[in-house]
Amino acid sequence: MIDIKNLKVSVEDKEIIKGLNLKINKGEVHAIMGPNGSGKSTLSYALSGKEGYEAEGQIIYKGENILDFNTEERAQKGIFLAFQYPIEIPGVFTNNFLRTSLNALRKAKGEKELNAVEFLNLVKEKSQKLKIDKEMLSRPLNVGFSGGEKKRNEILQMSLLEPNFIIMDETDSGLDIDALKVVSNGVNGMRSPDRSFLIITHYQRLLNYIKPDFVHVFSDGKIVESGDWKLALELENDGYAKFVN
Amino acid sequence: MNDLEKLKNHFQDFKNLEFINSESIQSRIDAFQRFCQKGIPSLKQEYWKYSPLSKDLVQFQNLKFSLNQDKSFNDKYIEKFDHYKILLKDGVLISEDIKEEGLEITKYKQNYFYEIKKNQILDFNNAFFTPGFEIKVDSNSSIKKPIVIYNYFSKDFDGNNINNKNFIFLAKNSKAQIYEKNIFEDEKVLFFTKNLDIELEQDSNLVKYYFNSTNKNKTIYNFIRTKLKQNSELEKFNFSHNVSSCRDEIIADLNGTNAFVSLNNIQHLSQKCYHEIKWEINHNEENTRSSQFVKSALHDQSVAAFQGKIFVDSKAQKTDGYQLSRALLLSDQSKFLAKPELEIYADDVKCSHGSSSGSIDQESIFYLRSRGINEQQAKRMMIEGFLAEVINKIKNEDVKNIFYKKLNEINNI
Amino acid sequence: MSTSDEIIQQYQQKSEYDHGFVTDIDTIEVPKGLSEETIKFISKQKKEPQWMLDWRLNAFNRLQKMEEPDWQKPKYPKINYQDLYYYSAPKSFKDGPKSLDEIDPEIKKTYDKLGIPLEEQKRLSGVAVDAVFDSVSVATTFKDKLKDIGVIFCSISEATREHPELVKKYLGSVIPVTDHFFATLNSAVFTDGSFVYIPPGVRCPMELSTYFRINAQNTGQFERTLIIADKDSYVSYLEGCTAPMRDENQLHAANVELIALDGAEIKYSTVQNWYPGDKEGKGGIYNFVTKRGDCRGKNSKISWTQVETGSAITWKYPSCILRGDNSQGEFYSVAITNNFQKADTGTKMIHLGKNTKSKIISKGISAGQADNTYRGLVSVHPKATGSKNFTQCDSLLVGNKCGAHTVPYIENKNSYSEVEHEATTSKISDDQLFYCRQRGLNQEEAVSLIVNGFCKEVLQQLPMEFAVEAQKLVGISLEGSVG
Repeated sequence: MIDIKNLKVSVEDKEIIKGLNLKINKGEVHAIMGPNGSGKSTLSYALSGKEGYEAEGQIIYKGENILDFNTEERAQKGIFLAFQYPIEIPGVFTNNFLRTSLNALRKAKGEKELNAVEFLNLVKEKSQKLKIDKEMLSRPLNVGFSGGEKKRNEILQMSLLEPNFIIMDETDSGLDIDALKVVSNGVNGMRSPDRSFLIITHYQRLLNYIKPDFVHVFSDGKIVESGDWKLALELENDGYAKFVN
Repeated sequence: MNDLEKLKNHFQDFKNLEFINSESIQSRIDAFQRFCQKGIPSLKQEYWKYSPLSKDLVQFQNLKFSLNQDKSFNDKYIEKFDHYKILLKDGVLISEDIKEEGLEITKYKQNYFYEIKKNQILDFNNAFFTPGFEIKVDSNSSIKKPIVIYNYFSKDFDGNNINNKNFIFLAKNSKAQIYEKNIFEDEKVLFFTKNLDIELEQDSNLVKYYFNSTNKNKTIYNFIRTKLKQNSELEKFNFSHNVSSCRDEIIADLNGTNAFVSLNNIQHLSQKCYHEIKWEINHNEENTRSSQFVKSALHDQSVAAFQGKIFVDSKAQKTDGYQLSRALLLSDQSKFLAKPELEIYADDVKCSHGSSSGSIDQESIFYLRSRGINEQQAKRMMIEGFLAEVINKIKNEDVKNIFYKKLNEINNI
Repeated sequence: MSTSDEIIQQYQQKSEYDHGFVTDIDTIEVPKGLSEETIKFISKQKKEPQWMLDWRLNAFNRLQKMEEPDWQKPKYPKINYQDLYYYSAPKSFKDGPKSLDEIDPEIKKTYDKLGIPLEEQKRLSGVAVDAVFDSVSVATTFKDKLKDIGVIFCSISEATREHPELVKKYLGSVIPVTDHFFATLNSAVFTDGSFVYIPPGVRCPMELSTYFRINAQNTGQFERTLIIADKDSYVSYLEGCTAPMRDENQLHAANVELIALDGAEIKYSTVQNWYPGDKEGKGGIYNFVTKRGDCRGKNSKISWTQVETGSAITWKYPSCILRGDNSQGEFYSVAITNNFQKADTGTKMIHLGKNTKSKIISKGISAGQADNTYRGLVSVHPKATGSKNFTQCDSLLVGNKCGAHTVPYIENKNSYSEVEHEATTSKISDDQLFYCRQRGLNQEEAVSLIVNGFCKEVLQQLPMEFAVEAQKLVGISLEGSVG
């Protein structure tokens, strides 16, 4: 699905990611764990092409190097970032935003855009499945949403847009146990042989609900250790100190 | 004062007075000429819109300048806490020079004055001033005791016009607190103008309190110009209580990154008192911050005006400018006039202003009365709580107590 | 990855004005210049009664003693009033249009191009249109249908002839002849505009609309609109405007007067898209307009909604005089300035009656090197007990070469009244853009979405027919400039 080769990322001339190599095959779930300030969020931004994140190296996604693609082009190719802090946009209703986004993706794929009725039916179906209250959709995007609501909204977007490669940036932060279940059920429901996940997290907690195939320890802009999900337990018990000099 | 010819003669006499040094004389003449060109302020001039001065000054038929030679000062006016004293009696500096602990207080020595285009009263002040004080704080000095300035207007003064110029300079990484108060001994007519320039060097910090209380028949104009360099901070608290007619004007230039200015004012007015605030904050550099906070409680036929402007230069990205003015109209005839203004040329800024005016919240009054408090008392509590929000921000406990005591006192009359 | 500066430049290069074509027709013009002769000529062309001519000449005499105001923020080069044409009309309208069939096919085509077909049967949504082309009204649609219920909707020229008692009573009763320079100028030389009278108790069944078009060169457009809503009536009125692209600046100084009697409600919506000038700031319309509504009766209501995207300079303050007890005034505004455009706009809410309410929602968007000023007055007079005002002014800046200014005047002279004002300034944050783009929207779509969200409160006040158009216009206006 995605093959990251010797990726270096700088922000304002400061190198944050210092040669990262990571290959994620179709259907795999990888978790990246690391202490605060290790550059985890930088990685998620660099993969989704945020401006100001100067990247070199290669990001081979579905067989092509997407390093020069801008944010929306990557999104249209199926890369989805679930934000740690979803952005509030006053006056823009969630419904309207979701439809605009979905149609932008469909258009890029050469598919027919959905009209309002078709869209509403689809959203209804998805939100019921995820047990998300429809009322949220008629409010301005993320404005006044609780932390849990924001994250649920991210999961709803994910299930609606059906991306191939999903990056989850600290999705568990600030969630209570119920919201965490909604989020992880949403993610588990989307696991499929055609879809891969990269879960970025500080704590092992989320990984109790979404069991990864591989776990990587990220420190000072590099992967310093890789293993299976037991590595996460080890980190939980012993902390990061062992891997961080 | 509506007769400029009379005033011109007055200036001829004035500039021959003994205390005027030869170096300042040309500046004074230039300033007087500018004043004559601009004329008396009128309500039609945007700069003087809402100003009590434009209405007051035409009533001055004759200005009489005078110097009071007497230097006595009644000790009962002296504050009880430990402090440095600056005494000005009828516009004349009568206290001794102070030189210690990185602090120097002398007589005002500047001889060259700037012009503010639309401000002819500043020109007037430049022409007719009597030297006030100069405070200089050395770099890396933190002045332990507060400095208290007493503007004492005695009953023996036989003129009707006083004009002062003062200067405060804080060198790098220095710190000072200043408390200034006005003392009026009688109800004679007086036109008083005061210009204070404040310069804050890098990393310096000044807190200034100003208590301007009860006076009758006094027309007061305070003009402060302040320039702040990198990381410097100015905090200002004004308590304006029953000032018969007063305009407080401040122009603050934030010229260095991370400079911060905070202006706070309580207006507590009754009878026909008229107090005007005109503040202009210029964000000229990145990452500068400002805050303006005004609360007004207006009884009887009093009028409060607030004009606050936040200007943001195109260079001044990441500016944070905040302004809030709230007024309680406590009588049928009181008025609140406001012009909260934003002028912004940079896109990455956070600026907001809010202004509200109205009567005391009846629901709250009802709530208090249902708990057995009588209406009068309930109102007092509401007013006190409303104004105390400003006082709560004061860090100096002595001054805070003075302000609280005063608030309590006037509210219980 | 492109930086936001590059994107801004790309947008700027795309700027296009869709309505910039010129219609090639023969016109009758009065010789250049402002004089009694010009005024007499106009009055004669309009077949006006003597009292109307006298009224104009009175205004002209007063004008001689007046000076152009200069307190506004956008400054402009001095206008030579002797170098302007004050009247321009298509030749084919010498005697005024009698029916739609008589309209010059070229003009019909113009309105078709603008998307305003004059053929009544083509209108789907039941909007009656009065189309003003340069100085004359060329067509008023649905007139007869409206007549059946007593609604008068015609050109103001026709009204002076057919309904002199109404015009005499109300013209100049909201904007006095000598109000200010441009209002007085308009009173002297106004050419055409719409007249509406809604009889007591009638709820006008369709939206009434005027479409203004400046076509001729060097011509000032001075239209005059007068709307009277009699007791307990209701009307919603829409106004749209365009002009061809020309290098020189053209003056548009209209007067609009609204009168709402007891229990009446007037809703007045404007989508202003005059030619804004080119990317270098050359050409464009000076839009100096006086609009004022008088809530003369008890429980009356006047609501202004404006979407201002065009004009080189926009300078207008649609206002409400809240005279009747319990009357209400509203002002909803979106002003978008781009390239070198300048806007100085806002409102005045004058609370005179008891329990009067007003609401002001203003959204200013500034891009390119443009300047956008909100200027407003809320004045509560001592007798206006129980009045309330709420004002919200938000500014959005795009790029750091533009300016956004807020200059509100607040005068509360009644202790039983509440005045509240809030203002904020912000920009489209990089985070918002990134978030939208991560969901597949391109930069343009993202900006349009965010700006429309910013303006939502105002846009939703527009009648359906206009709302969609206005939303698109918001997007287009900014494509030309930034993000």
